[in-house]
Amino acid sequence: MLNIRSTFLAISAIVFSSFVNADSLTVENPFVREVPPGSPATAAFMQLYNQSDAPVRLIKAQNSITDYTELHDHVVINEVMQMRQVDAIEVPARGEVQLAPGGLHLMLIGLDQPVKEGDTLTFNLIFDNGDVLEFEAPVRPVMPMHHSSSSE
Amino acid sequence: MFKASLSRSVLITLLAGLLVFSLVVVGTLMFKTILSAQGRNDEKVGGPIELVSTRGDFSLTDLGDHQVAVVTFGYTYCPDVCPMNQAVKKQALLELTEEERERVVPLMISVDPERDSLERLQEYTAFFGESFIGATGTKQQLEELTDRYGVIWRRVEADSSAMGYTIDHSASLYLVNREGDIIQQVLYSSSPEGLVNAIKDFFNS
Ligand SMILES: [Cu+2]
Repeated sequence: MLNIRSTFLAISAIVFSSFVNADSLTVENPFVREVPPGSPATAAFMQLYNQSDAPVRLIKAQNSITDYTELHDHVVINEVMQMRQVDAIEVPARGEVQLAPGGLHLMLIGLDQPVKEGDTLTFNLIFDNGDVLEFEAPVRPVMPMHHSSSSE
Repeated sequence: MFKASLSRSVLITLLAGLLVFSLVVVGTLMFKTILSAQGRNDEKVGGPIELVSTRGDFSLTDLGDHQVAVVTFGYTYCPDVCPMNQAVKKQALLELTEEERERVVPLMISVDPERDSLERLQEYTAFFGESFIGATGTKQQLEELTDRYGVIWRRVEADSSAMGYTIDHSASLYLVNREGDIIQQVLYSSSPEGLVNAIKDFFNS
């Protein structure tokens, strides 16, 4: 399974690399959330930037360790957390989109083993204009916001 | 004779009208009461929590007099809120003294009993610390319990997703004592501050 996946990633990287318009789409601060053992899924977050004059839509994603990489959104309504799959994530013209905790994310489904801090995953993001972004993302632990209180 | 029967039928009509009217009023009132008890968060009575858990059968009554449970509802597929809630509990515990820490019981109740076995919950909760307990129950048990706690959760089919379904769920943390009184509901946050304050308030009361 892993072989098929890595072969696929390698092939798609070769096939698509000639189409990558290196200037128009970029990614910053990508990371994968470390989740406890037993979690069947995790999430990846990042910022996507579009330097072109036309909006571009992220329509498909792949990663090096799970079979499924879905585009998801989170909304909280009256303290009720709702997660939904979305068809695409738009990066506005000359703009950016945040994939961040509590909102849009890539959902990595089918973890065979936990992802741990120190691991690195490879991603391919495929956009509706044919662009493909390939990059690596480190795994980071869930960090509560630091509590600056009297106790320290 | 004619007049008498006319006034009688008028009276009957009036009485019938009054009956219908009062039925409508009573019915509406009852319906509203049911609605507010079900959907709204203002009727939180709390009460017993008795579920199978990663420690065997869990019951709030096993808590000591001076202990408090920090209860959240979620499922292991949740990549964001649920691990964050556990991490926030862990961080809050670290900000307490050792003596205080022993009085706190972190509990995660899975509302996905179909997928979250106790084995999976054991791996999941142990990651955050020895004191963390995972519990779940039958759909009926969970519905009855969450109704009392004013916790909302619902299964949402996600046919095009590899997950098959997701579960919408309340993200709040509930401080509960051994009697099942909800001491405080702490709103979801990625900062432990609200939880730490709520725990300290309880200890100081
Ligand atoms: Cu998701």
